[in-house]
Amino acid sequence: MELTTYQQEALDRQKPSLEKFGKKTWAWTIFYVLWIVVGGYALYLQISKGHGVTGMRDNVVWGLFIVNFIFFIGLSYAGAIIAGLLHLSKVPWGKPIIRLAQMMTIISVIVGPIFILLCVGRFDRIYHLFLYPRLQSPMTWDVLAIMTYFVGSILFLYLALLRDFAVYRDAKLGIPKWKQKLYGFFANGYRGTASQKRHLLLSENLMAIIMIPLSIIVSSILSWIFGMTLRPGWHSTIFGPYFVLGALYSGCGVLICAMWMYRRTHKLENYFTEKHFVYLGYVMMVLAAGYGYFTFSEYFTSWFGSEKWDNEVINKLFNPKEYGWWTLSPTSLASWSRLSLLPSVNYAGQT
Amino acid sequence: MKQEEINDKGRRDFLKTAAVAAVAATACGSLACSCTSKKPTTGEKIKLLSPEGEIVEVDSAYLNHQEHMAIVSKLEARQGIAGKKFVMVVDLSRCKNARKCITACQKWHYRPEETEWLTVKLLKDSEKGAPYWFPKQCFHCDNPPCVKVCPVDATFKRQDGLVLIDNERCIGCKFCMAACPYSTRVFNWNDPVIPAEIEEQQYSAETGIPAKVGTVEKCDFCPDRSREGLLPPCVDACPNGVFYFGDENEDTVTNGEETISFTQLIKDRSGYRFMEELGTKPRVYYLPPKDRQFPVERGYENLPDTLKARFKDIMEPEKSKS
Repeated sequence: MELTTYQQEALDRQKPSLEKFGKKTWAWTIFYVLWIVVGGYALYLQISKGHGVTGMRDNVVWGLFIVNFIFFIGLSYAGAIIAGLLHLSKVPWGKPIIRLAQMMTIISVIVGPIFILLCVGRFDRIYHLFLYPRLQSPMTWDVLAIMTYFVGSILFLYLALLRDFAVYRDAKLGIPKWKQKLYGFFANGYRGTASQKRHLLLSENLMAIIMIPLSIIVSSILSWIFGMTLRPGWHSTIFGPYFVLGALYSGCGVLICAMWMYRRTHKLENYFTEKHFVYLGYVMMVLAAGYGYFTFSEYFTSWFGSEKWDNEVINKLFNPKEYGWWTLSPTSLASWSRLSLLPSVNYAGQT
Repeated sequence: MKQEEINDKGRRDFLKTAAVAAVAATACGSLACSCTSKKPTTGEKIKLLSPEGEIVEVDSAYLNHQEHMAIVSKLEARQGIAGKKFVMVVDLSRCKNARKCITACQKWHYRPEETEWLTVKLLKDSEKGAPYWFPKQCFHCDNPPCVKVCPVDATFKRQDGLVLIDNERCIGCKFCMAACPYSTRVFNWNDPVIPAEIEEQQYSAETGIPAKVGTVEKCDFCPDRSREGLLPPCVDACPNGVFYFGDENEDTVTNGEETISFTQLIKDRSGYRFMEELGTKPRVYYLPPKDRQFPVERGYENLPDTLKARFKDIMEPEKSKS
């Protein structure tokens, strides 16, 4: 397969990181493995002593596990929506972001459910979800949704990677033979013929069209785990769109952070330019406005109506002692200002 | 059968005989049938309780003792007792927070002191309203939010109205705990301490014994006792007859001392259900705390400090503020 100049240039840039596992990479790998070991010890404590060690009790049954789960799964949905929209809109500057967003989708859809496995009291019986499933339960909807979504996002990424596998297969890289063969296997006979190109584009378009509504659906289902209960503060019709927007908002933020890190570590200044940061900053600004609007309407209506139980929630949240709430809301709404309103200050200096 | 016999050691023996009765009944369709088969009889008659709740006499030759059997099969525990619709009425005018129901419940279910399937709250409906004691157990709702959300069918609604949990099925996702608007469910956060005498007892959703770590449990209206024709321990233990337990189909409820018409009681005393607006249709009715038998302070004064702390904001608002 003949490479275009763009591909050749990109390949030359990547070559060192493809060919050897540098000292820096080793250091980071060990650092993260150590964290996993710490987590493993915590898991050992939880298994040997019971879930009491988590500090959760009958009034707080899910705690941080679910917070993390929602966060990562939300990131994942955001990744797919952003990648899908950028792909379909065919904006020329969107291409580098698409790949990063797709990677974010896969990684976080793998990380997220791990927290559910940690949270479940009887991990050893998790197969009951498939042995005795009950379609009536929002939890079952969620299991189905996440599995569907996982398969979809893998396909979405794979279609995008197909060309790259073909490039790696044909390029003369200083890598072991089995790796070269593996690239060949995943390239799946892609030679870049006109017909293959057309079909690949068609499949990618189709996956993008599927992934956008799928993300919105599964994100809403996630929110219904809370929305379908009768808890005051949770039992709200706004939760579906609220979660979708919240996911997009945080996903956009993480994408900006990831862009910055990749730019630094892989020297991708030509691909992630200042323009990308500014544009994503604008997107975040719009999303922040939407998120703020949803948050405001949610609490304003229940505060104004001041029903007994709604009032309890409002009084609890808007209590001066609730430092968590008071740091979360203003900072989460104001973070876009750093990223979008002051782009020249933030990024102009870094080339 | 008298209640003393049911306690501790007597209970296990009873379970065995009851198990035999259940087996005999399922094998032959009825106990009478099993008596007419051609086995040599010993002449020794043994009294048994049939699944229908009748005492029947069976020749000892037809009985095989089987160790550690569940009282009822798993299927039966899920289906419930045919023809029954259990209902409870709680008379708030009689409760003085004696907490005898709580300890009796804990003893019967072998639960530790901190696990309260049944608990007594102190409610005060409005600012100037008078506080009153409010015993709260599982309401066994007819539209149960907990059952709706269970992903593995571990908690289920039976034909006799009870909502039970199968802790061999439960995966411990705690979704039911989040869904129950009455916070009635408790979780086994740590390995439960199992007394030696129930260690080998086979688990049944009707008894909830033995408890298992990482699973949810709650008040079960003691269907194992109902099968024996007994009242739940909380009803028996209450010194003031606060709890009336019975069958909606028979339209009778009893607190152990008096047996009255359920509809008449609800009608005469304006019975209501807790948080009716949630649409959960509880099977527990409350009689308003009108013409009270005890001043509310009677339930507060002699409590240990740990329990007093729960009610301090209502009983001593000045102190709790400072």
